[in-house]
Amino acid sequence: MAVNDRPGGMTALSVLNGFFALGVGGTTIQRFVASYELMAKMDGSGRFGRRRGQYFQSLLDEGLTPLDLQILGVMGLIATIFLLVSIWGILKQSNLLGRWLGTIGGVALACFSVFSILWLPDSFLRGSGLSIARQMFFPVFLIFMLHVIFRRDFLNNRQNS
Amino acid sequence: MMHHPARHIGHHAMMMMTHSMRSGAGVAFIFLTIIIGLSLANLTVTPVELEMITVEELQDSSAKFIGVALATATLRASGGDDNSDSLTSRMETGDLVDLGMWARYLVVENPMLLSITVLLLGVVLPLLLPLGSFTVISGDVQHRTVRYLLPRTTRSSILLGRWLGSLILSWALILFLISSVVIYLSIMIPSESLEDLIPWGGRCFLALFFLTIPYVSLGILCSATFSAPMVALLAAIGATVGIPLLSLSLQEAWEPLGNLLYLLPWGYSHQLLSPSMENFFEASAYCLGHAALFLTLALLKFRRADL
Amino acid sequence: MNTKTHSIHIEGLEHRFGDKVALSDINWQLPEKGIVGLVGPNGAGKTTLFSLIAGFLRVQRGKIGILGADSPNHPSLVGRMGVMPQDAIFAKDISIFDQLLFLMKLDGINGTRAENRALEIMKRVGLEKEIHRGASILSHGMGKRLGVAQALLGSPEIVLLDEPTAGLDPANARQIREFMREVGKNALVIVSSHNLLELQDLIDEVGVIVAGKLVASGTVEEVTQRDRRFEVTFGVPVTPEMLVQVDQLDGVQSANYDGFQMSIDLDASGENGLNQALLELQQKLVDLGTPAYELREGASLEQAYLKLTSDTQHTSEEG
Repeated sequence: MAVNDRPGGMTALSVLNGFFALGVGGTTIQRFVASYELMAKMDGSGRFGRRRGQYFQSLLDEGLTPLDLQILGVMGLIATIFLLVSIWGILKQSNLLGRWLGTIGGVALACFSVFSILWLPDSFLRGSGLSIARQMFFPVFLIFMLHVIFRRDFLNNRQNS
Repeated sequence: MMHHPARHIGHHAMMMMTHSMRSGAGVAFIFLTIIIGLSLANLTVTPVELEMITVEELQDSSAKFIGVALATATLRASGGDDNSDSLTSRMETGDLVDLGMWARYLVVENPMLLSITVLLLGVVLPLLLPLGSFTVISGDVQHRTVRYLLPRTTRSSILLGRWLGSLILSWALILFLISSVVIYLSIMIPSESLEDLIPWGGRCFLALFFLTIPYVSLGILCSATFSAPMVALLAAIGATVGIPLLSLSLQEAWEPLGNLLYLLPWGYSHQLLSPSMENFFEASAYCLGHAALFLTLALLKFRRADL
Repeated sequence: MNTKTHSIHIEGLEHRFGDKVALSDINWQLPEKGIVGLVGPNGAGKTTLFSLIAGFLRVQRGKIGILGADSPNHPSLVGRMGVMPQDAIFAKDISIFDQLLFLMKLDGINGTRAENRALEIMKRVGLEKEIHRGASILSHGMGKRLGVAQALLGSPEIVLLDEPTAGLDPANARQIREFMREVGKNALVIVSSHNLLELQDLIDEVGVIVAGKLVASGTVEEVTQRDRRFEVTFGVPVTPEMLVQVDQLDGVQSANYDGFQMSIDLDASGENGLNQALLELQQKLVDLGTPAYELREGASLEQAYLKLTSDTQHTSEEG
């Protein structure tokens, strides 16, 4: 008798959650660091090399504010935390921790990607918008899997436990 | 009780798709296909979107690259019946002009970014498709789950139903990929209009639609031949990669051996994006022929197997 | 081929795995209804025979006619057989309920009818609480019960159950036996088991397979007619002298004792069969002044089985 009856797809989904949580977590740190550097550039307290200084000036010229980066950072942080917690929830087939926290994590990740495309200048994104649209696929996929394919597994597990 | 083969095939196809969405291998296949597909599109779009290169420059370099690739593929296909220097002779007969037209058709007359993405997909998809079909038969044979089905249905229905389910899933992923790229290009790249993108997207989908059939059938053949899923996967990917490599290296020793390339659609699949509809239909027919061959072999193997 | 009175007709069946002969020269005819037991030592070929009848293995030599079809894989047999394979496992990634619904869909049963039937059959085998779980959570015994349940989902005319009660607790084993009895009224149930005492009470016919050969087949009466074991209880402890006296009788093959009880194997193959042997035994006991307080038939099938298997093994060793 196995310890659990979790479908293999759920395990795969939780691994992908971990992968994307780490990815968005790294980007979130970048956003916060950049926002403080941008603030330092604005009030002239920071010390930057010539090229980096020019780079931050160009971001400011394009209308990017530290607040934009901080809002994105908060979205990224929510996505990271919720995706990480939902790994455990999905593995345990918990309706609240797996399905719903995973959903919130997915929505936060989608918002993070969409607002990054909308707010950040191309030079900051360092890539095509399609690479961010590619990131959009995962949250949509995650929410679809949690609410369509594995919905009954979460609900039945709640009844059984 | 009446046995309805068509209905059973439909039931097996549906069950196969449901199972794919719920299994680890299925989720990995769906995710990898979409992510790799979008990454290829990203690779194509990024230089234009970030204005690292102008559309005209990319058209020019792509036309040259595609022209050389088409010349290599087309000339080697007909090189066996011409002992003289084939490139020179084809230049003299003016055939290379057609190839130039073909390259122009792909990058000038039709949305270039979509064409390049689909050409790249045409190379990568054959390697991804076995991921969606390697466990289709072998998984159930290994765990003997198939024994619950055998008293209720025929072996042919199981195999054909699962083949159809794999195909529909693969087509759905390709449709999703092409639609995403079309929508993205129409919004983000001003030079690509939706009026041009939609019909060309349809044509590209058709090309990949036909290309998918033989490779999924090959995956099913490997799955029906080897009861260990990992062996089936290795066999399918090994054949897909190994046959072109083998044919190219053996061709050096003796030119007719280069025809080994035609064991799989590698030798003609580029014709699926040919400006000539006649060539497209011919390549589609070859794809169907290859699929029929693989599927027949899989059926023979599965119907005679001890399960 | 007589397909009117026999639902399964096996003729000259032989099967090999490489060089190893798993079955040889099997000829067996099975009735349309009732419960038939298939017994034999481990590795005798029971599961191979099951797998051939079920169509899992291809027939290499000989014929298996089933319900008028000349091959176990004939399309006309689809949905007419229910099989519980010994070592198959349900798919891991789909719930038991969805898998049962799928199997019924193949049987042509859909919608609410299918859902009700799945619930009903899972209740019958005591697994209704697990119906929405994955099969990987089931214990060995639960897996057996699920295997029986899926075999009986539709309305099969032939049911093959490979060791259905092995590993089950007594209550569940009894539940499965009752289920088999019920199904056996309208269908042919072929069941293999090592529990011969259980089979003796359950089956109408039996086939004994040893080293790939069907060494005996027929009704339980026919197979056990030569060797009938009786348990005799006395009012006084059995003495060695009593045992010697009983053992000397013509109709007695062997005798053992323990306390107030004596186990006697009678040879029922004489001219007047079992009656004559029993009469002689009872007369002797009266003559000895130790009449039987109770005389009941013991595990005759087990006795016959042990004799048949040891005879076959001796023959093959001599050969």
